[in-house]
Amino acid sequence: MKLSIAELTVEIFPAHELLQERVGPYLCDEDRQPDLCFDGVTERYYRDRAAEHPEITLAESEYLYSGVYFYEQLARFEGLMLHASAVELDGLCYLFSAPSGTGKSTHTHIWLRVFPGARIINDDKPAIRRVNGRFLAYGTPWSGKTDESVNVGVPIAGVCFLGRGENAIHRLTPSEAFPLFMDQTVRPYDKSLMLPMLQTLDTLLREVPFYQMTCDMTDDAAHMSRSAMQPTEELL
Amino acid sequence: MKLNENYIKTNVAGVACVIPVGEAVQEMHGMIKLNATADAIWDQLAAGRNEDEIVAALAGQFDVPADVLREDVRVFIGRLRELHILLD
Repeated sequence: MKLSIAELTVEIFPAHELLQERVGPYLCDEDRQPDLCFDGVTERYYRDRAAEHPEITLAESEYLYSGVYFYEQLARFEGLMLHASAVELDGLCYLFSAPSGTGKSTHTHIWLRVFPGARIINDDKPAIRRVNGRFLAYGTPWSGKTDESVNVGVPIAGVCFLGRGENAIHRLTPSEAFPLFMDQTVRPYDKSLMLPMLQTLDTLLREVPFYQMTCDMTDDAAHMSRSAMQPTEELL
Repeated sequence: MKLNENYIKTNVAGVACVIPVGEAVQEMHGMIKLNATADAIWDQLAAGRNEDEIVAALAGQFDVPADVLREDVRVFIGRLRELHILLD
């Protein structure tokens, strides 16, 4: 079947219900020429990955590792993945990244409650691509346990690495943000994909503002991150 | 001395570093940041130079006493060997 994800036409062959269900909102016209085809990713590959991780089923393996494949291949299309919860407000996307269990999703869900019109683009693994000279965050079928994702692309206002603590936020230089980003992305296995991925990351770090914050789980935290990260009038 | 092809040197956002790819991702999960000296030594290793040649080449680039530079080169090469980034 053909999907449209992050403005790419993707040909994929889901065998199990979990992936079949998640790709539903991304189905597109079957006549389109694929930019990316999953023909090299076989049932055997998913079976081998499931054997390495006895805690996951074959259907879960297909879901997880089809995502890993997609995110690695994004490197060929000026793209990469960030482990983050991406929230849209007033036509711009704000990404909050952190290791699992830190509270990035909790933070963006405070945004939903506090700021009317806010919505989640992808709650766990947004795709990021540079299209027509600007970086956008995209919903994908791979968005973690909750499946909160929308099939849209939204220009990125900023990226924030989040930790728990007293409310405080500061801007990061590109070189400070680089190792933090590397800890929260899918690193391509092949050199031929790693090199373009790093090139895209270099551009992203220079063109998009990065922040680091510690926060509690109160409404104040959402007001703080929004006012620090929203572009000022002159920049718009 | 030969650099392991599964480690690539790159520069992202002004940070010179070495990142594992392929089979090396099993060995190293992070990355190694390189200072200016280590960056220059890596380039010399990539060009196939031996330890003496590297010291000679870098003496012109860095304003460091010869014995300090020789020690830096020796330590960095030793570390790369331990990590199997530099082979034989």
